[in-house]
Amino acid sequence: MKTLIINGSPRGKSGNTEVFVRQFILGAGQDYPVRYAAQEPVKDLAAAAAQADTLLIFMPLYVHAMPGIVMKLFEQMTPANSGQKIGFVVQAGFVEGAQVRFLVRYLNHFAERLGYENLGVITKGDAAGTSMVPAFMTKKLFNRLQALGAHYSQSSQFHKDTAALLAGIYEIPARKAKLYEFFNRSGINHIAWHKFWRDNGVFEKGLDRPFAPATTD
Amino acid sequence: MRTVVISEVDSIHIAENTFMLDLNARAIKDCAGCWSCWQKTPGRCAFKDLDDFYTAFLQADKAVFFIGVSCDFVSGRLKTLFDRMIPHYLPYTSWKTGESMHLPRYDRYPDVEVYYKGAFSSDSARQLYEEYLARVFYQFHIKRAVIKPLGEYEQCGVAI
Repeated sequence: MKTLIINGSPRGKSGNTEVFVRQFILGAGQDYPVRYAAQEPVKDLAAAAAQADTLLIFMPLYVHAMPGIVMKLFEQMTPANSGQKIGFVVQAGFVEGAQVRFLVRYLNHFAERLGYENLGVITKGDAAGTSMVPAFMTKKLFNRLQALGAHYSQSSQFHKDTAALLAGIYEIPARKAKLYEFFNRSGINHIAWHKFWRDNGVFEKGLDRPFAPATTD
Repeated sequence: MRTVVISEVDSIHIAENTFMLDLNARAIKDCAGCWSCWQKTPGRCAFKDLDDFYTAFLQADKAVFFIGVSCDFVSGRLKTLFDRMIPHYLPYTSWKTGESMHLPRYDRYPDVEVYYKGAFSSDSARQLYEEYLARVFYQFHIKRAVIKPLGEYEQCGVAI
């Protein structure tokens, strides 16, 4: 059983998606090959995908869907042979699963279109800082991704309970949204961005409007 | 009324002085996910190949998209253009609407009309395509977005 993992992140080996891939592989205890949409022509990648018994595509959520380079890969992929499987893992910045709903629908449809046996779509929100934050903040996430990998290596399926834990909340409860917005007004959520801007020497420019029409400047 | 046109459909004829981003003729660099537009050069993409379009888009009252259908979804090149629109929004998240949203960087954005051309494998695929586009423009703080099959544009013969 040949599994191929494709990392669909434009950031390749340096992004959050790569962290997801590595934790999954660690849990699986298998040396699955990983190829990168950001590093090779999509035609070559599609040809490699066609050779895999199971294709696992990991990607970040970009504007409610797959990154452009992943759609370009999809455009090159050919119908599956009988018994070929596909599965998807999507990590997103925003916390609620509802943000991924269009992509989940499309990925399931895409698997069906090409005649793949579909393992499903794993989603995880609130993942924006995964590759940057200290270890104690990612422990639970990593445990779950490893559990997902371990179960996959034994059963060639995604574990439903682990998938549900990773998926988290679908919508933000109204009460919580109000609380988030309250903290937002206090400015506390902007501190991280202010630090980026200060570190990059653009503290005064964070809210700049470089392409604004001259008349409304 | 200033209009900007984004097209990946052949044989779209527009007025000479209307800015057109022709996705068939121009290869747009894929978003690199570098976050320069949020962290290092706020509002500016690390790639400069869309600067003329950005200027035209943010000056326009209306942006008209003539687009295709690819594997029952938006094409990869249009998706890349959507990814490259992120500089026009702030990294800040707001929950005012009850869900996570990025805040606008600019005071105003053009209204949007989308005319799509192509076949779908099912009605639900068409529905997903239209709902996805509506959501994108909602996230992009477009006040008014109309999404229709290209036939309706041709019938109405709206002048651009």
